[in-house]
Amino acid sequence: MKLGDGMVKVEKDLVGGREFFAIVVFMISTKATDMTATTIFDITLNASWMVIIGSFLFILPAFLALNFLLKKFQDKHLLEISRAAFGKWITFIIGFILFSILLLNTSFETRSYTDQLMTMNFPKTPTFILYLLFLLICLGGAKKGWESIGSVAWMVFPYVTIALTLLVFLLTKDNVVNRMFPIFGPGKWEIAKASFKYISIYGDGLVIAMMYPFVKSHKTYTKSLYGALIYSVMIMALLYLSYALLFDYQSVGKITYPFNEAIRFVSIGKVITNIETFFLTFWLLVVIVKFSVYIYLVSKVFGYVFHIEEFEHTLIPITILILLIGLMPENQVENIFVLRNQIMTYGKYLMLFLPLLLLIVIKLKEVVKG
Amino acid sequence: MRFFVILIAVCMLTGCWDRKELEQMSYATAIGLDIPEGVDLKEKQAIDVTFQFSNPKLNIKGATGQGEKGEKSIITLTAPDFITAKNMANSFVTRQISFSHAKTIVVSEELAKSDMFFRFIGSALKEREVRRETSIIVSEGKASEFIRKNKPEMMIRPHKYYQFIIDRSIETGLVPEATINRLFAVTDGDADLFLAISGSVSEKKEGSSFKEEDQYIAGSVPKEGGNPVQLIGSAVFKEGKMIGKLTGEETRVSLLLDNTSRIEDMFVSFTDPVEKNYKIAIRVKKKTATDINVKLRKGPPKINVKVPLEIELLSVPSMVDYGGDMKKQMILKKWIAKEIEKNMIALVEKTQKVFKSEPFYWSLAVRPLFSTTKEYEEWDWTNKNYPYADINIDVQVDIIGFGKQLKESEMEKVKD
Amino acid sequence: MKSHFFKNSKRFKFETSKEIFDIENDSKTDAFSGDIAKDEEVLKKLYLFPQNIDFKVRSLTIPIMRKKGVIFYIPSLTDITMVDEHIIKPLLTDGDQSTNEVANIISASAFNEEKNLKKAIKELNTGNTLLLIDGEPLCYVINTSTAAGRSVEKPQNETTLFGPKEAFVERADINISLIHKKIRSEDFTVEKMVIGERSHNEVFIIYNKELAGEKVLNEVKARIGAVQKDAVQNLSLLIQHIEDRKASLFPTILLTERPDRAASFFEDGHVIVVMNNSPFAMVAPATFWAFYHSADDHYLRFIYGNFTRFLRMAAMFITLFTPSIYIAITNYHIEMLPPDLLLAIAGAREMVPFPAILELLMMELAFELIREAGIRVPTPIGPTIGIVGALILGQAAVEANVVSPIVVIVVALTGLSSFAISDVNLNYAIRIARFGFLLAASVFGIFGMVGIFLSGLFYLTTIKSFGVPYFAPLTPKYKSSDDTLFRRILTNERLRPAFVKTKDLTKKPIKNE
Repeated sequence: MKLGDGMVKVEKDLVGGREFFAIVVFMISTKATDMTATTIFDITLNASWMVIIGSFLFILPAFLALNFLLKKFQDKHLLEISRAAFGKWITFIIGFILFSILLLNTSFETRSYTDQLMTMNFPKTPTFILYLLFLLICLGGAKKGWESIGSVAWMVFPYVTIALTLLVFLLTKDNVVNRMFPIFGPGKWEIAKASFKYISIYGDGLVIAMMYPFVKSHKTYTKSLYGALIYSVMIMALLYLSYALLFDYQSVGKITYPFNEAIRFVSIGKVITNIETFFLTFWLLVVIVKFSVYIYLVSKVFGYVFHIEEFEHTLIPITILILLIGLMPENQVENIFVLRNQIMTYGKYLMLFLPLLLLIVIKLKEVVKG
Repeated sequence: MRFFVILIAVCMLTGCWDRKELEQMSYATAIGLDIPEGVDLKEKQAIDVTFQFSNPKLNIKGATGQGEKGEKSIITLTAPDFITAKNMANSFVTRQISFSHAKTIVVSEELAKSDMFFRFIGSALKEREVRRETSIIVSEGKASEFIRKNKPEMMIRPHKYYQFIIDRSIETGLVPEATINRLFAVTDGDADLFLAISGSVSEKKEGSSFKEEDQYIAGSVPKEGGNPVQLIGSAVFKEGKMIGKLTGEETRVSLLLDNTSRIEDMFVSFTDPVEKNYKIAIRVKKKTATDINVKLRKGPPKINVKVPLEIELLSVPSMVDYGGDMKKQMILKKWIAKEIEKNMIALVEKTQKVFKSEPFYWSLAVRPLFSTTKEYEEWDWTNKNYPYADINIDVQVDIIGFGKQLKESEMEKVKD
Repeated sequence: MKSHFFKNSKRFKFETSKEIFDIENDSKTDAFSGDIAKDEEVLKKLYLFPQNIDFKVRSLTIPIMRKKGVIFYIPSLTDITMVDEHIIKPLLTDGDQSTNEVANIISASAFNEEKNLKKAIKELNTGNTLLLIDGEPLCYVINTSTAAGRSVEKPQNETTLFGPKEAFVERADINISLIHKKIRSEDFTVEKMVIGERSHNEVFIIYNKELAGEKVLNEVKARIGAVQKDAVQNLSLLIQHIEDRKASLFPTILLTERPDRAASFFEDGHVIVVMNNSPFAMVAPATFWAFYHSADDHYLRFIYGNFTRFLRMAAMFITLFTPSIYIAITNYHIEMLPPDLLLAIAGAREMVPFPAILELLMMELAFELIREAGIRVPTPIGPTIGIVGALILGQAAVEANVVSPIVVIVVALTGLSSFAISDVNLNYAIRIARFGFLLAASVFGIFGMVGIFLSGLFYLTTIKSFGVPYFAPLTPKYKSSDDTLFRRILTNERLRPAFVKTKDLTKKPIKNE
């Protein structure tokens, strides 16, 4: 047990179950509020909520395999396990690919969120300024370290949950349940294909295994991770369903930001209308925490790949890199539909097969050794 | 650090990017859309946009309110579309025009009947200030006239007028709930008819001869005094284009058949089944959701509709004792059910024959029968099935109350 | 807060306390000679005897012992009647039997021998009386110290409805006894440390030897021991020497003027520090919640207590965010306002020459000035004058169309709410932080506010008070009674907070409160 090392260690850099839970929920469930929703609705219409569940089922084996390995190796994170399995050079390549995927993904996603914020709320502010500011805040969070991010995530979590519950509750007022049908939307095969395509929605849950040594114990890690995954799946499925019920399937694919349109639509009674800024506040809280974790993870992977012990020093250069890459795409469509979709398409194989491959190699090694 | 201080100071004093003091804006409460005179929409894209602004001066002590100068806060101009009209208007309106509080779009019938209507509204949704919960009113005459002639009683502010009258009319069921969101959901769904609020300006004392309370269309309600603008009935849109009108009564019936509507306070009068020269007034409420059962079969489908209603007796001028007499209650129940059924069947037939589609959002009831959107779209509810469907309507009436007086006075005894 | 500053603090000896600075390099050279005339001369010289009127020497012959003796004392710090009644009188009385034991003659209670001249002088400086007897190479230190001071009064800042109505005073012994009388236990330990190279200020560290966390206690002692300063007059100054982050906006050490609050922290295993001249006790470690809570939360019944907690939370929220929300909404997110309110604000602002942010900053600054002035006005009606001033100022500003009435409402609401935050330090922190939010809101609306808020939160989670995270036990989680935003029913508060590393985590149900 890692706890046995004494109280001193608990205070430093190890996060508890609640904090870890909040981090994973924030990382994953925000994908119901961004352009991911738009791309999924584009293909699977009113059955998009099933894609969320389907993708999760597809990637579940990878989670189980990875969790098994983590338990076996106790103090090692994802790449360290890979090193034990594949050796130094292959791990370097895997690590580098992982780093590239994370870097590009973080860049395009931060840009996408900035655009989202800009289109809906700050149409006249220059992209660069807003983007810079946004990244600066996230960088500030990342700089404070893993434990601090966890604490903040947990502290805002209850309020975010309250806001989300309120949103879902208010949405039910305008939801038309029968818009859910025809139940399979474009067809079962289409859903299965889309589910496979969007596996990388849950990629964050695998990448977070980089932080495995910094969670209190294996039990808390497993419990929080699976709890967070199930919770995220539920939230996302619920939100996707709500969008479909609110806008109907032919319209929902045409909306750029279903989340923002949904929060614009709801009202409390007849007098308190236009409460989108209220929800926006909580959304921003979550998003900033989310990207703090992303930036931290990119640096962490970078630090491991290039043997930089104090990887916190790479946070600033990496954020600058993210800013530069993020500024490249001309607009949202290019950013999300072309670039990020590419990453999602190729990234998913890594997410899916790396844990399974690791498991097989390690089992084989065991067999060879006797 | 110093950089930030300077940045903040500069931003604060100059106003950066999106910052705008709220008195630097004019808030449009209603937007009117018309076809400009002498312009053929097929050749040139142009639109007459009318803005009605809220007047914040109403709030300043001593300043004159809207009064006679109210006209100044309504402007009309011709522009390629109504988003660019925002900027064009600034050639004579001093402040930036904001749509953030515009909850109503008034469209003239003429425009609504053209192809351009859906294009204008559709493209407007790209603008972030245009909100999906905005209501659509179709006015019989010009939209600009509708807005100009609108003189609400008690001089309330325009946004209050639109908010109150639309909310109230929806409650009474005389007009449908017609938001842009519903317009898009229904039109994109391509299976049902969209009902917009129908409005009209009428200065006439007597619109037409007296009818039952809800059999009017907008503009024909006989009245004296008050606001010349009336909202009653609905405009029917098919595929984004207006194709007809429903009276208040038809609107109510269609709302009763529609499960997505919310009627709360619907007073209806019926001929007294016992004393036929009198009328009784009742309040009608939906008991539970209307049950729409679609049976697929070869050829057109069979649709069984069950409408469970609750009614409350409000006035019985004939003094027939319905409260005390169970037999008469049964007669009343059957009579009302029959009357409502009659209305419903008439409306359904009208929609089948005239509109060739339905405004009740029944496509929702059809959807669960299909597992994929492709099958559903190929089956084509609105074009191939509904107009020929065999529709059976069954109204079930429960009398839940007799107002606060159970029995009527006996007229004979009173006369003695 | 008004305090009398006694430049010459008095000292006192507590049974359990121990001198920390026992080691004196030149102890031998400073020993008493035994020759009374010589020693008397040394002392007189040291105190510049004839000119210095605040030093008294009384020579006498003790009939019982048949010896000469000298008494030294400092009249301003000494209880003269005690010197007369319990020292001089018994010494001069001719008893029946002769004795050589001073202890058998003097009737004062606290009394000990001191061979070292320097230490004896320290004792003399605290107001104790020195007795030298011819032929004995030592002096007797008799505890006679007393100093002018006020008696125990009602608390001024931390008032409660149901709590005890006594507050700490400027005398450490009284303060210690105020705490001690609430905890009648042999585990109550008081240690004394002396800091200040010149003024020799005494610091009393109070802790429960069975409960207090070893680490925290050692940390407190080490930090106090490390203070390098000629004089540290009182706790308010000491805190600034030993706190974790000296430039931080948020306080990490709690000052309380309520003995009952100090006692309850003591029971939870915290370390209390008391000093002379400070009507406060210092509590370490202190988390955010310690500042947020007030004594009444627990004295009131469960629901009422939590209601006040809720109000305080709302007050904090309003103080921190109302002005910035006003700016963010009116400048960036206009659609949020209901049309009527929008028109009301727009109408009111029609005549106002300044942008809303300037208007608000002006009024906030004016309010802060009035508040500051209110504290400095030397009469109890100061605050009243301040409020009246604020009202008149606001009214006139609105009449003159300098500010809009809604801004006055916002500022008044903010100011009013800020009074509900009872802790002075936290109060300042929040009042200052709100200007940050205000500026952020004026530059980037709600986005700016969220940015500042999260940056602040990230920062706060890294703060530690004596090794304890600032938001413990909320996050990171520690075993505790979860007394954070709201409290539990008293009988369910069974655990001491684990973050102080107390030795005994569970409270015996009956033992407390």
